[in-house]
Amino acid sequence: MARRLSKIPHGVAFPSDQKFLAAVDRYVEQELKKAGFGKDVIADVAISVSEFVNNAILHGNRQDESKLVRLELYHAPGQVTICVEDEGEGFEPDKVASPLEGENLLKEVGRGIFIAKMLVDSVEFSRGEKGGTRVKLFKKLPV
Amino acid sequence: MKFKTDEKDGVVIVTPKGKILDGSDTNKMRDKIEELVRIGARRMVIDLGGVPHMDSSGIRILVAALNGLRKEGGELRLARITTKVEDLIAITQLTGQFKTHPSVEEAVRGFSSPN
Ligand SMILES: Nc1ncnc2c1ncn2[C@@H]1O[C@H](COP(=O)(O)OP(=O)(O)OP(=O)(O)O)[C@@H](O)[C@H]1O
Ligand SMILES: [Mg+2]
Repeated sequence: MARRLSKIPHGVAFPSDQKFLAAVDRYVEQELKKAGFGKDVIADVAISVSEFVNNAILHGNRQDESKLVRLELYHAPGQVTICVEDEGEGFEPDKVASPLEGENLLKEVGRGIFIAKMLVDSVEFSRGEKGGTRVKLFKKLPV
Repeated sequence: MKFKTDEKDGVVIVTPKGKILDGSDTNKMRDKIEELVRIGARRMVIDLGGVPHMDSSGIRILVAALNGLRKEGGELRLARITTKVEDLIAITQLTGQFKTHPSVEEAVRGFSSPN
């Protein structure tokens, strides 16, 4: 079960394969635990990260294992910022359809970004240096 | 996540265990449910008592099972749903689509009662 995540400054990088999702999940949970976050918040942030990492693997890098997904994690007391970046072609997040509308409600897919946004305080999309998608999510400890 | 399937009184019971994240196990569970419906399952309970949390792929499995069974005139019930999963179903506004029960036994019994 060795799914090796390579260390990068402030985070990890790994090839575009879904088999790394579990290791990423454990990594995020461990780091947030060290930072003193509570169980519930950790669960929410980890799911949110998992949605973006999965999108980076599937939609961004199209499971091309020569392309990496990078995850950076920064925390200050009571808050955490996590960035997920892929080497894909980017997309227009504003054009993603709402999963709640009409027949979308019972579609099998199309909920990832929506769910991820609901579980953290803010999500920002931008383009990485090479044109891929960079997602920055932010969560404050609830008081 | 690992899962198993059983049958009890003509009801198929699917029991996943562990956090549901996207990947091969999730696809296996989705395919297994599809196959069970194809070979005739019409009453199904998914026991979520061992699933502390899930991502959108978990919702995908539940919606696929719901749609697949409805299409064949069958029915899906959920048992022992945990708080985080219940929250996720609420966030995605699917609460009204799923019948939920505090135990597998009650879910199974639900098929022969009016609601
Ligand atoms: N990193 C990315 N690169 C390119 N396109 C993306 C990226 N992330 C998301 N998208 C696009 O946005 C759409 C919506 O993403 P979202 O995660 O909400 O749903 P999904 O991945 O299609 O399904 P689900 O997450 O419910 O399994 C995707 O189908 C894809 O077209
Ligand atoms: Mg997605």
